Amino acid sequence: MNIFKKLTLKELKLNKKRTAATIIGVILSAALFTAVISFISSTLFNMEKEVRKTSGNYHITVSDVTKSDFDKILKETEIENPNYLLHVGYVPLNLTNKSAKPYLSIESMDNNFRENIVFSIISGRMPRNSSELILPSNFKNDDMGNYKLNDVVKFDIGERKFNNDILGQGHQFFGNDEKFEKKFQKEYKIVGFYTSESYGLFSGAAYTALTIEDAETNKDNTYKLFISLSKPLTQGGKVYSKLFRISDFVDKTLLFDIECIALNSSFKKSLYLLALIFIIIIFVGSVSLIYNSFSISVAQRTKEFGMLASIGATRKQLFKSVLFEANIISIVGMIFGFALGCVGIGVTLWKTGDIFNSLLMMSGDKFVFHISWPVLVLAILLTYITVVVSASIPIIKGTKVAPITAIKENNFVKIKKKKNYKTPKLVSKIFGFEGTLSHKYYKRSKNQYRTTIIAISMSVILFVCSNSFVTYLNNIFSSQVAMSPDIFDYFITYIDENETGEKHILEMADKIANNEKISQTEIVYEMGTEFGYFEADKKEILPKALNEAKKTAEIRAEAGDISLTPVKDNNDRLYLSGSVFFMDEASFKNILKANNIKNYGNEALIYLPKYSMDSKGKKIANEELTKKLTHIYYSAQKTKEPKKIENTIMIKELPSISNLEYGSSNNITICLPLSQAPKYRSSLVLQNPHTLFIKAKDGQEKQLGQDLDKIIEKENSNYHLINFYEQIELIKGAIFVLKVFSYGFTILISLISLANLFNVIYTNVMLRQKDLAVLRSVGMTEKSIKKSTIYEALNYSVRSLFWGVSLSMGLNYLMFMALNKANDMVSSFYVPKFPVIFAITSVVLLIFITMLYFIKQTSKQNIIETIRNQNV
Amino acid sequence: MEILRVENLVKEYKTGENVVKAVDNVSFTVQKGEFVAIIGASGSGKSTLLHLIGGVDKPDGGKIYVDGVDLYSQNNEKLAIFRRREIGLIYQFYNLIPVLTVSENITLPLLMDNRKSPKAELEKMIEMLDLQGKENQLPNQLSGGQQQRVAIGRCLITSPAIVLADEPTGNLDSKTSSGIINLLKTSNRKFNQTLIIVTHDKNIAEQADRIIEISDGKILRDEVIKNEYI
Repeated sequence: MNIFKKLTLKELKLNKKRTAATIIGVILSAALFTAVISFISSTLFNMEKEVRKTSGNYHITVSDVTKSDFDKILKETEIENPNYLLHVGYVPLNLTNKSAKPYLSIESMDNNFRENIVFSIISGRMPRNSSELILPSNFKNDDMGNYKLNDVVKFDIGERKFNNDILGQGHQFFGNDEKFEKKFQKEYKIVGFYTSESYGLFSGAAYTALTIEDAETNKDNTYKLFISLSKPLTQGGKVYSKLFRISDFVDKTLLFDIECIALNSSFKKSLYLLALIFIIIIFVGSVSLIYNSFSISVAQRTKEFGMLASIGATRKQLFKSVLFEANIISIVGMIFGFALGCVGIGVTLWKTGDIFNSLLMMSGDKFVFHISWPVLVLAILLTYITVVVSASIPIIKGTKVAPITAIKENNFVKIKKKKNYKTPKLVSKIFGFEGTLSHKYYKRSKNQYRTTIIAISMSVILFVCSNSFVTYLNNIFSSQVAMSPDIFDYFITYIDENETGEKHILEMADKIANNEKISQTEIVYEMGTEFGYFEADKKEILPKALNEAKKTAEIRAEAGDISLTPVKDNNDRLYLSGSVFFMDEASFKNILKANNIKNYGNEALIYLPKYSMDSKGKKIANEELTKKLTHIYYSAQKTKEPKKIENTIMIKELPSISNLEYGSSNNITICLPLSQAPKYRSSLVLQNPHTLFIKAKDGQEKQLGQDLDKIIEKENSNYHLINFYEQIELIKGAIFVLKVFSYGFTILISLISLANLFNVIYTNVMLRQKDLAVLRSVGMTEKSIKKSTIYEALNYSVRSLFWGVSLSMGLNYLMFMALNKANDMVSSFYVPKFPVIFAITSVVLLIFITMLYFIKQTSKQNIIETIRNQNV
Repeated sequence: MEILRVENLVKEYKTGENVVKAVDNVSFTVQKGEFVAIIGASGSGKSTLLHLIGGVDKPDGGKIYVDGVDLYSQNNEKLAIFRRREIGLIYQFYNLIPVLTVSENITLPLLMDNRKSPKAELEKMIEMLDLQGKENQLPNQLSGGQQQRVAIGRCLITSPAIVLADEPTGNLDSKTSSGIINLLKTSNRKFNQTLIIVTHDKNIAEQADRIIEISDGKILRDEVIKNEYI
């Protein structure tokens, strides 16, 4: 081994504390890099696995592709042998009520269709020829009748047309405006029923029945392609744009978002932006910590470098010696750091596994920890770059001086033009000679102090910024659950053209009334004016609200909101946004009870929403509009004269599981019982159809969902059940996971910051050992040394906190701007009060305690040995 | 008048299983105003002895009395103050405080006592040290000899009971060395300053009133060569 390497190893062994601090810094940064990268890698891996299993193994679908376009696609893109469905024709369904899916679409599968498309056979088998059909399982639940296995049916098959244009798989149902044109008749045997979550398998207008493509199938019909890319990462973007030039009906799947580099994918952009910010924070923190260690190493070894240089060592050799130190520290640090990162994430996933499973793994598979070679290499590379950058800067500085200057260690005291530094009177008055001495050290060795102050400031910035970042992350998800906890878990609507929604919703409410898992139900039916505004008498609106409206009139008008502006041709009235909510009798009675209304006489209940929600889900307090609205005018659809709601009662409470109290952007919310709806039907327009809101008893939400699923499955397909509970639970789960992750991240970053602080302070004290020994030998008491140290600690604290806190606020603002611009991820600036207070307290305590402790330790050392050792 | 008494002084260094006696049961006295040279080969223990007398190292046995005060019976605080006021130590490598000017380095012990040196006294000292015009310079702007003179000034400013110089010329050229020794001798003669110098330089040793030769931690020879103080 060459002499430089031998010396380096000796130095590392001799300065155990500093070496340990540096290695710990590398371990922490390697662990953090590994944790962040492996967490993202695991998330993407499991999501990809899940999506492939539940939705299919393909990245892009292309609908309504003609034969010539199909050939073009094969010729011009890298796609080979895509799976496809070849359209045979549409079968109109004889339905008693018009439904959203009035057709059966018969599609022929290619031979390898089942390779990439996921579907389960509920009963029967796959068709073996073009005269056999497999039907979707929910098809038999429709009104037209039940098909059974082995039934033989004769279908009239043809085309859908809209104004003589043929409609395909990509076109929605155009209602009475589209026509069916029969082309031929064919007999089919029903051989099975299937269910599928595969994206794109079902079109909007039709149920999809599948058969096999054979020699008899007309190849000139349109195709629907299901394209699986062999190299999604590199092919994805190119193939997608090429397909768009050929067809209008190109869709990408979630698998595409996960696997391809599609930067216009907001999901990927968000994920990568978050990862980038994490990595920047870790990188900066690590560089700061490790840089200080190497900087101090160089300072301590300056004399040694000087001696070696005087004997003949070149700068390159000295540089290599420090790089050798960097390599040893990197290797040891990275091995332990990598292991720590993997173990950390592995344990986190193990402990929070259930949340991840319910969050992402619908198939029932477990969320597993995954780390790939590229990820490992990336983590290692980032850590190594951190160490090399940190090591290089001080060695370049350290070897610039002449050898003899290095030996004499004269370099750290810079001669300033100003020869005499006057100590501020306050300093000498409070701290005496000791303060003067410290002040002179500060003034004359500013570079060293600057390094220390920068290092401490970095620790503060790192801690405060990482706290802000995880707070923003938490807010992004939490804003989506910023609603009343008493909100509904499910809601059911009924949509059909004949507007029999009310009847069907009331029937459904009766059907589920005896379900013991239900805590409360509410039927709400929303109506409004033709263009969304009611009118109120100007004199009844409070001046403050009017002023506010005047101020924001222009901004509102741009957004199409004319609230509280004068009604045209009527100076006495103002436009007022609002909706009328008709509610079932029981729910309406609850409102009357909550407002202590005993003798209800068919008045309209007027509620002023206290809050609105902005587009990001943030609560905004509303100005109080009015004390009383005597009457509310509404423009009728068919008559010119506005009608009046004359009898009104202002209410303060609006207990409702359907979230009426937020009233979106409404100025007023008007509540009436359902029984009064007919009175307004001719003059108000439908805003939202009859909806049945259902709240489950605590702990019974999932089981209730299963019950409701079973009920809806048996009903006709015009019923729609929305599982709101699951959405909120997913978000809550994500918040929980995020909190776990962010606490871990914050703890590790805090450790880096603390290690940095400790290392810097300790080393500063160590570098001044000789001077301290000389001062003691001349007669400076321990008490005096302590006093001097206190002044120095105060100096460090004040300066580093000034820079640390002010820069971290600035960086926090920049972070807010970045997150706000890219995706509107956050809406309000977060002032990190508590992290700043915590940082200030920690820094002050740590600096004082560390300095005083180490000074005390130094004071116990033998004076002459210290001087002798330092004099070499 | 006896200014220094060393009784059965012992200092040991343990390196693994080996015990090296740097100072092995040394006893002697020094009178006020004596100029004593302690000589000996490298590693003989002469510097260790000086440092023990100076209160900057702790003995493993024995006692040291400076001006009647048992040095090591005092606590650290009192010892530091005693060192400040009664003992002056000069090192081979000057050991000045790099951020203090010449004037500040010289008056450092007074500053520690929250005292200021009267301007006239400081000027006199500067003159004696031949450092005129260098009062506001920093140590790294001075030559070796100048730095050593500053160190001497620091040592003499409090008129200590005893001045201890550990190879004060070890780092200097012969001309400068000569100047330094003359300065020390001047303070010895003029101010009756007790002076103990550790040196391996025979020429310097012969300028002293008394030579104590140390070998392997023991006094080999204690000889008065000028009898002014008998």
